[in-house]
Amino acid sequence: MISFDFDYYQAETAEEAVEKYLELVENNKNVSYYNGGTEIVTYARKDKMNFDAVIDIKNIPECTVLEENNNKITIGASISLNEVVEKNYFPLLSESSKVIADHTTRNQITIGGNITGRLPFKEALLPLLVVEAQVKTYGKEGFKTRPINEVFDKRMKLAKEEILIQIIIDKEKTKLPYYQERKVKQSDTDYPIMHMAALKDNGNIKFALSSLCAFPFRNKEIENILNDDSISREEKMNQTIDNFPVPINSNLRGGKEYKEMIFRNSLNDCLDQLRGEK
Amino acid sequence: MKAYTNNQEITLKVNGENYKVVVKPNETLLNVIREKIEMTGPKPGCENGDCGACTVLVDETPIKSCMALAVDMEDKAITTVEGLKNTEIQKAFIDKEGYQCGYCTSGFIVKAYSLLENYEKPNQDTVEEWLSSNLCRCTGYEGIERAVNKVIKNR
Repeated sequence: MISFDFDYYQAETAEEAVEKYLELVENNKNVSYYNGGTEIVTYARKDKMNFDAVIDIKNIPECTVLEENNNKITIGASISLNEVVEKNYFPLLSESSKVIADHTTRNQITIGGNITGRLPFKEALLPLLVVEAQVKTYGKEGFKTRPINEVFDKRMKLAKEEILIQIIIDKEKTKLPYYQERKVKQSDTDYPIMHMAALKDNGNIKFALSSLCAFPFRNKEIENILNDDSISREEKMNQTIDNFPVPINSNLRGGKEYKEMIFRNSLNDCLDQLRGEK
Repeated sequence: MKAYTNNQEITLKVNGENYKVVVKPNETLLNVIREKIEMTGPKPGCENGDCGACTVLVDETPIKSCMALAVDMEDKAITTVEGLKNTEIQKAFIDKEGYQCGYCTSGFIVKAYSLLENYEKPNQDTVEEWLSSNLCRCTGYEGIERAVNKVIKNR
């Protein structure tokens, strides 16, 4: 039971959802979009989140698309993580998604919710960053399709009323060799200490990281270091850590030094696998 | 656009029966099933999506009812443990003592039922993946595993 009252709207189209959002905001209402609901319901129950209304977007037809055709894979924002895993159109995304939360919860967590929500881990985002996916959104200015790497900077930078509708992936890139590793403190269903995803594209590593720092990131400077054959393995690791956008954070899941050790071990394995270096 | 504000009558289809209930948008499915439909099979454990004691099927898919809003469940088929009476898995839980205090049992039965509907003979990795969604604070996992394996073995 959530301790405060709110109104619930079920949108049938993106236009309807945004129109309702703008109308409610105009009337000084605090509004949140609602997809799988796992984060909103649990946060609201703990009074960590408050709103006057939610607009459910999971009945918008474009948000429920999951298809592979021609050269593209299209994943609607309301597709659950388990559906992503079961269809397995993009193996790296499946690997990164099937370790999030637990099996039952993955029936409720949507891919859109995972990458736009408040939780900082956003693990399904990592494969999308390295594969350079496009995101289709709908807002005041209509539909827009942009590279996810331009939209994501610490968080998804969408306008207040803007909805993530779909993720579009170049099919060829989903076949590239990849490396994925997730480390947890104890239980597999726990939040991660570190989640790493990397692809090898034209001999170069594309690399994204979550949970080690305050937000997930993909960083070109780090990729240049990882792909530079003139730098020793040890030096690559040192320079990579030096180029994190923010320092590794210490929390109950692990201290900074411990997390750094975990990262170094995983990066070592990643480079072994994708660059064949020893 | 469907809108739900304040108290509103909705119809929930639970275990094949339609129930008219008056709910507010802030009520979780778990709360409405227990308090308004008066089926106490789904249990409030953590109410945070961690323990799985509240697991129900919605359109044959297991979900944690503590993380779902009741107003979102109109036109969907909900199955609680009460709807799984005399199923093979329920009998196996009794035969193999897949319970200790019993609080988590309904969630485990619903989840295991769904697993066995989806897989004829799931391997141990699949069993573990599915059932690790639920927690047993008595740590009675061996009995639960025996119950699930009994059904698999009999197939």
